[in-house]
Amino acid sequence: MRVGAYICFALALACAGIWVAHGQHMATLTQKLVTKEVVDPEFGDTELVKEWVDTFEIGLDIAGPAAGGLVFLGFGLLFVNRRKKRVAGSTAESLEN
Amino acid sequence: MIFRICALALLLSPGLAMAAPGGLDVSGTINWISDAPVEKIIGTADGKASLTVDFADLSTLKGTFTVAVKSMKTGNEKRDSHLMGTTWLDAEAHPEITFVIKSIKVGEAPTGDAVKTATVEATGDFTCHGKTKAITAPVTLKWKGKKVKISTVFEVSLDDYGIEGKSGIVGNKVGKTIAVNATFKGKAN
Repeated sequence: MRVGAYICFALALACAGIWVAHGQHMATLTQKLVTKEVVDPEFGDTELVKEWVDTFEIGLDIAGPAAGGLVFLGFGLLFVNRRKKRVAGSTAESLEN
Repeated sequence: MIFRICALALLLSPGLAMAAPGGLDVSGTINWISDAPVEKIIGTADGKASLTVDFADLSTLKGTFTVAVKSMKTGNEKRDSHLMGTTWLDAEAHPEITFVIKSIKVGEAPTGDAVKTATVEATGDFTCHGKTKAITAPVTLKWKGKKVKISTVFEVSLDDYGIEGKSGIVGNKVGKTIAVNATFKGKAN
């Protein structure tokens, strides 16, 4: 159970890491604007053309609750583990007496 | 005979053909940026315009630019739907954002040979979210024969158009002003 809690904390950290690596967006992006510098064939000048391309960049709207949930679950598992140990200890004590 | 010479001259010279005020149908993409302390949102929208202009006298430029609110995109569908909602742009009640040119202030004379370039200041009525306000924006015009390219950069204050959003969002997650960069291309009719 303790191991499970540590796995939850590690996964929560991973969620936060992915969010940082994806650009720390507030909202998850399913499309991203990509800017290309192209020469306008009609006018001969350079212009920046922006195109939407499909992407998946996780935002705080997903990463936040996911990481929060995992941390909550981790602490829950630690709490249950501690309680179980305490109950087991007190049972052993009462049996000895 | 004179008529034939005139007709031939008009056919041979696109520049002359556009000397009289002519119609322009242009379309393009509007790029906009909301730069707030918490979040930077980059979006696009589709726009079109019906204009008239005599390229010999750019102060004659008249017309209306129209942007469909429902064409606005930010890369997140949920956010797009919020943008169309009643607390923001209210796309059902106000489906279009328009700019009607009222006057043009011409600066320096057009430059270039094959491609003519000129920058003017366009003053007009900008209507967004059902509210209209006069704004002035620099407009760069490029034209070559019948082909035209129009670009502009300006800022829109959300407060001016009664766009309040959810409380605490404007100035925090959404910028108080939106930077707009638009380029339209088209042909003279």
